[in-house]
Amino acid sequence: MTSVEFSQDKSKLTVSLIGEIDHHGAQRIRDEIDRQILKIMPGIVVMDFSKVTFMDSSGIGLVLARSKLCADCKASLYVESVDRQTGRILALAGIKTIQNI
Amino acid sequence: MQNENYFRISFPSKSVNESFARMSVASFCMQFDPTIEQINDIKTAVSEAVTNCVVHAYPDSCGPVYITTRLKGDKLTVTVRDSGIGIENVQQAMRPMFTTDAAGERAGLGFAVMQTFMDKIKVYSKPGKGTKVVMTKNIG
Repeated sequence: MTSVEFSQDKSKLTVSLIGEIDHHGAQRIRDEIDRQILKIMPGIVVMDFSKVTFMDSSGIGLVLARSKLCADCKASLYVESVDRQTGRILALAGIKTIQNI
Repeated sequence: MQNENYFRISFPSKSVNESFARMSVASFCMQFDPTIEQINDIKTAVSEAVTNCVVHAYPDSCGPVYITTRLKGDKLTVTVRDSGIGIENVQQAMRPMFTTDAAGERAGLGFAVMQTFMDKIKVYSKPGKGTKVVMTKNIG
């Protein structure tokens, strides 16, 4: 199962991804993330991967499409707390992450 | 005698089965006492191959996906096959960042991930007949 939780600190929106991010799971959460970004119009969006238990290349698409939306909304996007496996996949698309664990 | 075992499964190309498929192959591989990293690699590669069947092989319908997993000695072979529309140009489809998705939600890195996480991958496809992806990995 895939789900997403949001927390807000001033103009920073943290998007906590939870569970398995595959094609099926990404479909379930992407609209919810976009709606939240468009509602809050944050200055900074942090995608937090600390509760992700599995991810395939669908996670790359999930990040890239959100990064385009953030650019359109003039928000900065950060990807954090990825484990080694997830980091390897994101690196294939040249996505840099912070606070690797 | 060399250690040898195999299993076969088939299921409809519904996205909900992507998770079932990779978990099944991973469970089967546990008998060879793989490392966590090896299991993650296998799960990721299987997930990519099955997602291709769900998204591309049967674009507006649903059809069967067949997986055969074979362990022989230290060598794992996973074959993911469909009888969908096939790929016109396999070389182009395997090129990193090539995607047919206009919405920007698919990165076009499925085959790149399979190549990164498995030792070898071969793709056989015939338009109108289907596609077969054969992936091998040494798990010794």
